Amino acid sequence: MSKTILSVDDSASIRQMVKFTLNKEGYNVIEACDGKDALAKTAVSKCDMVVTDLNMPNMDGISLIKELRQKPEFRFVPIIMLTTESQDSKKQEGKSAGATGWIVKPFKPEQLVTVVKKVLG
Amino acid sequence: MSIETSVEEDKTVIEISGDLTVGYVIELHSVLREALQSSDSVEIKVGDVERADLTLLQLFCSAHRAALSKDKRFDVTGKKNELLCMDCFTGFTRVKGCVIDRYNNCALVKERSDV
Amino acid sequence: MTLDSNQQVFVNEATELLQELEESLLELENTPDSAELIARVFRAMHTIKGSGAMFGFDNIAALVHSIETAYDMVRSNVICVTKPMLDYSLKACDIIREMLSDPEMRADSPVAVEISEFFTRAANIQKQQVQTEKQPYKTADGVLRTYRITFRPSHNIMMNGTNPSLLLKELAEMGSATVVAHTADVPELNEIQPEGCYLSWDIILTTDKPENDIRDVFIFVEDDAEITIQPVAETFDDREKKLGEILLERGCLTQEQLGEVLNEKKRLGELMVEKGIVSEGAVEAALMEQVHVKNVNEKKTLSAEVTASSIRVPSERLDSLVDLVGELVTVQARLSQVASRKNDQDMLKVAEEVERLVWELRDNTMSIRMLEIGSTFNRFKRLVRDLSAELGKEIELVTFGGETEIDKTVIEKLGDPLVHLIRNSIDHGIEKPEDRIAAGKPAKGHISLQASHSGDSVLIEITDDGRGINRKAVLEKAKAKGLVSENAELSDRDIYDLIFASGFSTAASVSSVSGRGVGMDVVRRNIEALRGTIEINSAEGTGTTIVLKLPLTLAIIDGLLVTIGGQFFILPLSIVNECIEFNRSENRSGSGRRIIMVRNELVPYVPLRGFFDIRGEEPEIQQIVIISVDGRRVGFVVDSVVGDHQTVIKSLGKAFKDIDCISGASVLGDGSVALIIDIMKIYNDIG
Repeated sequence: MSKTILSVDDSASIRQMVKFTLNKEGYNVIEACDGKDALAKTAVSKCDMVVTDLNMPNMDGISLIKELRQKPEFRFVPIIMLTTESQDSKKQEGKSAGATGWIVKPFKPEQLVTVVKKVLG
Repeated sequence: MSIETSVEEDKTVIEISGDLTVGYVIELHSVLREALQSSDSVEIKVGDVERADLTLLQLFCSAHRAALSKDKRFDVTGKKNELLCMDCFTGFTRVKGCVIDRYNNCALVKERSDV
Repeated sequence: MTLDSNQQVFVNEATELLQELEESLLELENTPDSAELIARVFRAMHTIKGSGAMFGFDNIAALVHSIETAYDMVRSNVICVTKPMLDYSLKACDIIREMLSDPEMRADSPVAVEISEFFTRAANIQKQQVQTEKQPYKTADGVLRTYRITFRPSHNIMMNGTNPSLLLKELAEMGSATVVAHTADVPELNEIQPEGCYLSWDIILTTDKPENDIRDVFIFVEDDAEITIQPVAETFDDREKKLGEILLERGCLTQEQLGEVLNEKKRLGELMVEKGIVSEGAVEAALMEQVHVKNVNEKKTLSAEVTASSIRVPSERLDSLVDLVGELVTVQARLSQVASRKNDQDMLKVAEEVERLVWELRDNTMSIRMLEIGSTFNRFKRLVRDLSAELGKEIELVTFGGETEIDKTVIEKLGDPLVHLIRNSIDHGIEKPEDRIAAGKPAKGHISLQASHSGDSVLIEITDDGRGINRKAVLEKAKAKGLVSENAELSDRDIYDLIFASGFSTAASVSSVSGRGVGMDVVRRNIEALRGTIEINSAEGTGTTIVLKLPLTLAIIDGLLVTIGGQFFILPLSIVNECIEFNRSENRSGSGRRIIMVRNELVPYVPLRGFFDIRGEEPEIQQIVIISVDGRRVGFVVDSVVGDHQTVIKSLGKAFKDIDCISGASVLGDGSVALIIDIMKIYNDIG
């Protein structure tokens, strides 16, 4: 059974790249355009991992991670945040919110795959 | 995951199978606690395992310790060897239980088939 | 730069974002303290920058960097929005639009620099050194090192979705790893929090990856785990470390404690656990380390042998080795001869043994000099590209069988003839695109170069799909040049052969490509100097194929030793078909034509005695050696056939370079010299 990854980003191009890259590796990808959308999507479909941007309208990544960790089914799900190099403090904030790891933007598809393999297997 | 408990005489048998990852191990924890309260002997029968993680082995070890301290038995049977051979359990290569393993029934030692 | 689909999505997205951004900026002019608007502007800049860098728009990322930083500061109320800031932001939007349509546009145009400088000043950003890499990463250098890694995750590690098993798996994939899990800290059922982590691991990892790579495995859990990585000191002697030493190194016990235990003669590990000095887990881990290091050391010895399996040697050394083997073959032949003359059983046995070994040695030595022909083929790709462009033709070169091995000396001498043949194909063979289309062919012409083995030869085929050879034109030209008589009736093969006659060129105009004064006759001579043959096949309108047949090696050939008037000669065995008795009186035909019947087939023959003008009485019964070239059979009359001979070819030297029909010489077992007859040359001469 292939694993499902939720990709949360307000940039359609990043979402497309994430989806394309992970599909190729045999993962299912669900897309959401911000934190609110992501919460709505997780309410209806099960997912094994979340890859989320931090800066998004409506609900940002940090709040999303906090919300997700409150849900029993998301307590142990790996959550990877996408950050930019200028947001080193965000890494810490994200980790204390419950993020499993991070990817620094800009990243290459291979880096994404490496990280997904690292936390999801 | 499925947990089925049956009590026969003085022994509680708990059959587990399916997804044995942390979320479900929490559930198994309370089942085991009760069983070790009420029975002198608890047996975990491992069925077909879909997924498992470290928390399961950790719980087995913990249950074994608890049983020994109360002078009860805690055995893991069924597809135990298959479980221990899973990819995620690298490093669990012990061939002998720890010092307190009086009954030689450490939950993390593979059953020997060289009879 | 053409955009891939990801980039296209980005361009569309960025265009929309710019639209939004402009609107927000204009609104912001009216309400400069609207937090929502500022956040929107920041996000747009942020996305444009982040996605831009990901999809190859580094210029945009570079430009937007300082703007994003400035708006981040506005967002956190460090600076205020000003009129010039909005002006420059709008200007930036225009530039980004341009960059989207022209990704090659650089970020250092005057306007772009002005914008960057403005925002840098506005945000009062210290010019930061761009941090490229944390430190120059040592990459894998092929040297295996062993590390002792301890991994003690914090209690809460699984609460943020980390699965320690995956990290261990990642480590294990870096090399050969021995993992020991420690369960000593697992509490009893009533105290355990099932989702907490009470386990820790010892990993002994042998890898060629640097320590940094190992650290990178733990990058997400650095703050949530105790991790130590320690190189295990190499043992330079063969001895593996004793358990006590390992425990000592790991800091599990002190020297005194060790000494104390060592005084009792029992198994060390058990004793220490009994005495409660070290835990069971520690002993187990140490024992595992001992086994691991032992295994690794064994493997290291093995891999040292493997790495030594390929060495570079100057080619002169190989050449002299081949020469020596050649000498050895000669001496071995003499030994065999002496042995059979003395008829000494013991000696014969030894001679036979030596013969077998020498043959094996010969084959092995020859194979060392074999090179793949692929590298030669690759040279032609460039040639074809350049020449076809020069001539206004579209040609693609495809090569097959590049892995075919052939003697180094053959390859070296093959270059020039091949260049010539390919030039011919490009110049005379492939038509101009318009002509090709008119002829119903694809505009792009194809030339294929193909190498393959065929017995002890290598075949090289050069095929083009060009116009083919116009036989009529060839014949007419040959007649005009007086190469053939006016009313000659020639077969196709004969006509193609005319192309090899000296001074022949069919191109209407002599171009710089093929008209260099070197004709196909030179090509043929070069190939024949390699003891090879050349053959042309062509179909008018559809293309030409030229087949070169070359010997695998030039140094040693299998020859047929014959005598003529007490002299030894050698014919290359590869083309010899059969030997039959030749009775002079019986075959003296009245007409004087030199033709005999061999199994109902007329075979022309050449009496070599006459050919070489060797005097002396002809024996009554002679031998005729029949060779076959291009499906035609020709006989060569010799006095007697001695048998096959391992022929080490020696060149005759400069003094004899003008001698035509002798291609070299070989030294026989008894020290006498045998001349190697250039059968192909004679064959061609007699037509």
